[in-house]
Amino acid sequence: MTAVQEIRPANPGFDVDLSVDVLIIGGGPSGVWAALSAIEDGATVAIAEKGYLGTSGPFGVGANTGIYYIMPDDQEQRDAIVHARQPIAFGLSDPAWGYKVFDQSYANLDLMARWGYEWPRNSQGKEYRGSLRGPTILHFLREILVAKGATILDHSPALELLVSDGVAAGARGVNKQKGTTWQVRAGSVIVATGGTAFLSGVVGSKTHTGDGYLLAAEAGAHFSGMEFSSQYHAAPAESNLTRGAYREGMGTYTDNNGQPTQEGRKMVQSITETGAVWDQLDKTKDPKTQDLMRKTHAAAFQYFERKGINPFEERYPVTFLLEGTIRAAGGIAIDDDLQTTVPGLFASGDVTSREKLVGAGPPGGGPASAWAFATGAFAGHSAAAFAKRYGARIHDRKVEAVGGVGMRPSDRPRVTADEVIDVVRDEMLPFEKNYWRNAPTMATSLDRLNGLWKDARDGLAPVQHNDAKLRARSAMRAREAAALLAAGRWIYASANERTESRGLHRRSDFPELDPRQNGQHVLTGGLDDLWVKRKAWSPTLTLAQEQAA
Amino acid sequence: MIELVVAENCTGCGKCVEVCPTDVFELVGDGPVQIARKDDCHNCMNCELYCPTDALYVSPLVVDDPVTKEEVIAAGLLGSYRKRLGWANGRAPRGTGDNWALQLREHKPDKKPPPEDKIRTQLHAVKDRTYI
Repeated sequence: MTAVQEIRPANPGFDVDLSVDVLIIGGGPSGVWAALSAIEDGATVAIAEKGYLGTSGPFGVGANTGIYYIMPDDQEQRDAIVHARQPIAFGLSDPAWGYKVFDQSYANLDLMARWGYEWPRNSQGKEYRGSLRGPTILHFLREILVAKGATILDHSPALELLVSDGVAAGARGVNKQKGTTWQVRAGSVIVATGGTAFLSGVVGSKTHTGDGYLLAAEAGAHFSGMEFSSQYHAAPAESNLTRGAYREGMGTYTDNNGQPTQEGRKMVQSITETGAVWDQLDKTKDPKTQDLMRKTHAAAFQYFERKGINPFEERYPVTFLLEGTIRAAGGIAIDDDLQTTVPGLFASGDVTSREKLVGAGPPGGGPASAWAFATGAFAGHSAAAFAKRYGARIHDRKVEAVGGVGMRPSDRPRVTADEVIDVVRDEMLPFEKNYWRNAPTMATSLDRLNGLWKDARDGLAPVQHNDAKLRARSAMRAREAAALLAAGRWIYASANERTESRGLHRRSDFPELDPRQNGQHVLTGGLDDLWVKRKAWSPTLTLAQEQAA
Repeated sequence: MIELVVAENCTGCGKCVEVCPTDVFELVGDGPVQIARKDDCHNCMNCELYCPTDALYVSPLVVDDPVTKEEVIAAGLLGSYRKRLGWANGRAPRGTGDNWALQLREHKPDKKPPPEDKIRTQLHAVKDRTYI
């Protein structure tokens, strides 16, 4: 690390200085469930959310999101849902995790019902818990959190982790609306900051710049499956609504010559070769179905109404945007208790590697929501148990702040956050670099990103505005730039290692799946010096198997 | 992106400032809220949901989409999104608030996925077991 001590006052005073058992960084669905679960175990909890707990991130968008909901006593349904998607996990998932995740998300949804959440009912009066509406759910859970005594820090991006003798011990950050600073010392820390789409513009993703990856890596965490990150999704042109639910089973994509095409590889080909792709919801002429679609998918139909398009009768252009690890599996490597490779540092939700549930493939909304809910609960319980071991020591153990790039340059400013972000986007968004990857292109990208990392390490710093609010925003921006840059490097390092195409990792120089690479995960990590290695898939052990071993 | 604050509806209560995850808004003095950082808007629409007086209009587009107050009022756009999601006066419903998705599910003809699509076929076979 290249820490320059002068930037940090000798005895930093913080406007907010707290000690809690468990600190959660990120107030989306996973962070909220982590907090609720830690509180259930008697832990004191603080959540630091970069935006506002209730509206932040892709889940805070008013589109309907599915969630897998399996009954504990319906074995046929359980088996079908756990096993249906195994073929598109390409051998890297673990059905034991399927049961574990879906059972826990069932329990979370059941708790919500007990707390008074009213689920919709069908015409027979039967309740349906398989669909979520993000802002309404988060608003409801925020009220529960407040009632249970959680400390919520809104508009409070974490800038760096605190570590004590190699153990995660809290975090420091700023409040970007007040221009103040905060520190939370904690017995354990959960990172739940979500994935990143590299600011491609998909709805609700401007807050999602991979911050948690960088925070965790600076403490020593590893990553798994970062090559499974090349997920793109269609959205109506000039919009960013990459949610396909509104058109499921109802639409037909065509290329610029009127030939049918479909989402995925064919769509990229159609856009590249014919210049555009169009959609039309041509599969229903029934006015009642159309009316119900309008009412169900309000966010999508706001777009059609504003553009004056009747999507049932006329075609409309679509774009194909990067969703990255917001949907794809790559992320922080976690063990069965959701702990990272750093003691006391846990992770949950989209920021983690979700390979155990979805392998190399796309998660779909149902499994992704279940993963966020369930891993939040697992991490909350694990982190609470970890924190109990430290007890009173939380408040006075010696801590070190480990933030690096974007905070503590060794030299004069030589690159701005916006410049860094522009380069990273230029390397991560284009189809010809990231949808279809190949060795020479990745080598060029990695050279450019590695060179930029050195410049950023030496000379990326917040702009020293006189206005405290601008200073705080600038501190956040510099760290966002550093996090995006680091994430891009881990992705291409992993993608370069995997010399095949598998799920959401495609290579034009290795277009086929290579059976010799079955059952192999690619791990990565490191800051100045990246490392990559392979790890064999291993099954999750039951307690009995663990004891026998 | 956020396009419009209807000044005469805005009470300057600051709720949109509080809930906007990307700090698009700024309160200046006692006046109506200002759109200070339009480019940071990512169309989550939460300001419209939380606004107690329907003073805001977020365009569903990610490009500039200039509108006038008269236009959005005439088109019935103010508050239309929050009404569709069942929010009122900055308050969320204590539940999903409607069952449009279920009505659609029941009304849509039950199309079996093609048998070669093993994933959808398996999921389709158990789709109605989720009701309780």
